[in-house]
Amino acid sequence: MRRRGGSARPGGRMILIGLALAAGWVPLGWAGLAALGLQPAGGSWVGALTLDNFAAVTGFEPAFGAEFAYTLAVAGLATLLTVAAAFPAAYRLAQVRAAWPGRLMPGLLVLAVSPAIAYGLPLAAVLRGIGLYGTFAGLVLASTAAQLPLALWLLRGYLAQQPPELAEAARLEGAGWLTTLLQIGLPLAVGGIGATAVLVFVLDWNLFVLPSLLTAGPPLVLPLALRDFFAFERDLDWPTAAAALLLTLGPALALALAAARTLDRLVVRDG
Amino acid sequence: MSGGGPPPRGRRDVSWLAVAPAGLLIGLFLVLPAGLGLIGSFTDLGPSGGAGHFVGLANYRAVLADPSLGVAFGNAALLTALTAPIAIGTGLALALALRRPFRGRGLVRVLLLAPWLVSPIASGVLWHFLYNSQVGLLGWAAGWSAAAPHPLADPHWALPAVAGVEVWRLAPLAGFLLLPGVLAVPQDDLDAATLAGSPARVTLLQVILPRLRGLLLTVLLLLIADSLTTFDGILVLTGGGPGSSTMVPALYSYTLAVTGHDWPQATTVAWLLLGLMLAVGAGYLRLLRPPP
Repeated sequence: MRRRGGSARPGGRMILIGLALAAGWVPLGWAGLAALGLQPAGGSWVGALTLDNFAAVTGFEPAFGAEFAYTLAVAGLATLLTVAAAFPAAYRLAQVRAAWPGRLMPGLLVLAVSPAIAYGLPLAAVLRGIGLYGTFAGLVLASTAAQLPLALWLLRGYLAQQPPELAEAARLEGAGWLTTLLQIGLPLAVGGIGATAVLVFVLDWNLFVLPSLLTAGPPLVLPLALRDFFAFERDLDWPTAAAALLLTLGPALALALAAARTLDRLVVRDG
Repeated sequence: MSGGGPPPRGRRDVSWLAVAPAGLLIGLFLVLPAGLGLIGSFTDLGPSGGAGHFVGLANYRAVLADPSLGVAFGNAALLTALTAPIAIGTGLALALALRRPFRGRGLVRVLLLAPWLVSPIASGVLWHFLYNSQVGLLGWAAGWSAAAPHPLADPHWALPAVAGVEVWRLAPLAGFLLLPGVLAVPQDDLDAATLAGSPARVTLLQVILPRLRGLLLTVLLLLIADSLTTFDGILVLTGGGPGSSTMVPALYSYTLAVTGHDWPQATTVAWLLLGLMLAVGAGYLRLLRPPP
């Protein structure tokens, strides 16, 4: 541990953490300065502090506000549905004594990381078949399902670490499975559910491939809008682009910071 | 693993209904379309429905006849080989550095995660400008030199430049996911190793890494999947160019679908990629089993 951020020399690991923070944040800070109207030139600064670039985003993309709200609604609702479907299933699976859920879970993980492009086109056909293609509901359901394997995997890992005695006792007291689930399982799992929800929201908020295959017209989700904005506005200048991309980072960053404590309770199981 | 356990025999176990919503959603919106895609890759079914005749391996023959698909798979392999080891090494070093608690560690942990919170599209836009010689960091750092580099326009440097962005986005995620595992290594074991006077490198190799084996494999799977199959960043950064120097199979398939409207071939390429991913997944499942 002495090398590579070892614990013996606190200085070394602090330097490593500092370097990593700088590597992550200098590019974002560079964008932040440009968005605020400041651009370094040689050893000095050009420009003056302004918020005009944030206003200019709606000049390039008049629907930016609506797209922001739409993406928030899709990602928020899909996150709620994913967690609502994943928790009971993970709870039930965590109670199985046999070995098969332990073998199912890594398989779920493989499903979770499969490329969206491999099922996105047929999914568009399926949604067309049930009249949900190009709709808010269709996009929400597709996003919900896309994150479910990961959420199930994370939550079952979290729940499998909990002592089974409480649920056992509740059952002996005559409580039904639904009561046990809601009154014993749920309160104990709040931390894991919260951490899972944060990760799922970030993934939903940033989805690009699925919405692009399942969207027929406006409103667009933000990653789609940002891509169009970037691809078709050839004269797009850096300060406006910087303002736009920072606005799209906002909710994910705000949520992660607000949930820092909850994220600390995340358990990632090996397999 | 035992929990509430199954109810007494003889009564119907309604508790399995808890699995139904998740099962239905995954089945209907993930597994069914993936299966339809596999079937579709053997037909000529188009976006407008079409007749959907069975065409055997014609789609596979057609896409494999295009040499640029081979180039794309090669690029994806190179991108993964560059990205995954660097990201997991950096992530592990970060997790080890964060092992001892300090004031504000929770906040630092989230701040370190920031690059992963940026969407691949937004990070593509960000790095498109950062790599730019006029307004970017690189141009500014090169300063006075007239020949400020522009790696994205250089066929030799475009792919490493894309890999750099991937590492920037994924190393923080690797560190974030590895930290709980690093924290779970019992302090007693580390103390014992220290008392026995074993050097730091030996402690890392013999005490810490064996306990992290499963978690490292899992994080590696996530990293490999991300660099093999995501292309949103590349779409914005280079669009696959210059030439086809950063073309990858997922982008190839996406372009066929969205621009070329060739659904059968797009799905065929996507299934070749999914097949590769499933092979990686099978390797993961095999390695995950504890050694006898």
